[in-house]
Amino acid sequence: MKCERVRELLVEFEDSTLPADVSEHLARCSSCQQHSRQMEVVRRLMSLKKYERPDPGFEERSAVTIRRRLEDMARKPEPLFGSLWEFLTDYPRPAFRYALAGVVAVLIVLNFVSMPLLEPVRPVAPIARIAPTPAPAPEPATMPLEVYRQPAYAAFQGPSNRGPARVEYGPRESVPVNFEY
Amino acid sequence: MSTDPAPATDTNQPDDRALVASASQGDLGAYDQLVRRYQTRIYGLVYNMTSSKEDAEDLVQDVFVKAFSSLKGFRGTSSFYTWIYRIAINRTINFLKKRKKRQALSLNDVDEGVERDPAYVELSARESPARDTSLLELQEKLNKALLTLSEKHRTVVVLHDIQGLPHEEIARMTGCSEGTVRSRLFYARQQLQGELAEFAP
Repeated sequence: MKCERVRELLVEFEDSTLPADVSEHLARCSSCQQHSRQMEVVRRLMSLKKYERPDPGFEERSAVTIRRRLEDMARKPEPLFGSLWEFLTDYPRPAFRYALAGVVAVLIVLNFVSMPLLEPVRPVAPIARIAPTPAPAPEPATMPLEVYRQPAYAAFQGPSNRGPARVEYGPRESVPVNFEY
Repeated sequence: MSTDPAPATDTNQPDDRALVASASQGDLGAYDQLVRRYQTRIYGLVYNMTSSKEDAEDLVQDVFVKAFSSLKGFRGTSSFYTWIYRIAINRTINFLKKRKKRQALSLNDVDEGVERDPAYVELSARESPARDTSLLELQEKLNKALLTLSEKHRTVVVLHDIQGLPHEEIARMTGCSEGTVRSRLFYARQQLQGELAEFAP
């Protein structure tokens, strides 16, 4: 039997008699003996806390306060459920919680089931008519050579219009101009 | 704190079922008897979970007031004792989740019976630094060690090692299996051993 399993069984049988195989392992395994002693010390240290007592007068003070709060409630009923979260978590009603979780799960599944499936669109009328033969390509546009070489307006050339630039009056002639007045 | 695993029943006193039946009809006197029967035990649970006397007193009152509001929903499938513990555990864990950063610790008084407890006698007699630890220091160290545990691990240590409840009762109170209770005890004690290494043999 492995040490880890023996140590788990020590907890399982701490309030009763250990099985024979666990006792045998414990008798010859010094590591498990040490572990057992350490756990026993922790257990006994914690058991000392049972001697702690509430402040004197706690029983009477607490009982009276609870009684007064209940009487106040009877006169002016507190909301039964302070908040939805408190209602769901404070009281031991696991069946209610499981039922609620089940209802939510069913709603989610129903939502997916009721969604329409995606189907290909079938047009009721033709969207476009496809010509049986392609239309002939149009003739390329032509421009007279003179118009292309001599523009009717001057073109500015330069990084910006604030510094020296050149004004082109045509493809060949350029004169320097200065915009700083 | 009492360590009795089952509530003490006096033959002259009405049992829990009769008191619960009367209380659920609005009989505050009957409920008062239930409060006086269990409030110290519930205080012990809550105090050891929170390490604060003030928070424990407030929570005990809240637990009993809220339990009264939902008495009509109590169907008697478990004992009132188990049912009120479950409310106290859930409410304390919710409180601790909200408290997280604010931790004002305060110590309970200690009954003088502790000085006759074999565990304490052995600890005081042993040759170790722990021998010089005063009762107050020991109390502080135990509280701080407990606070290092997660709420779920702390719950099982408090219910088993301090209040002396058996595994199956703890399983009913916490709504988990006995195997889970043992597993939590196993890991919680290992963590506590690291925190309390100075007391190791």
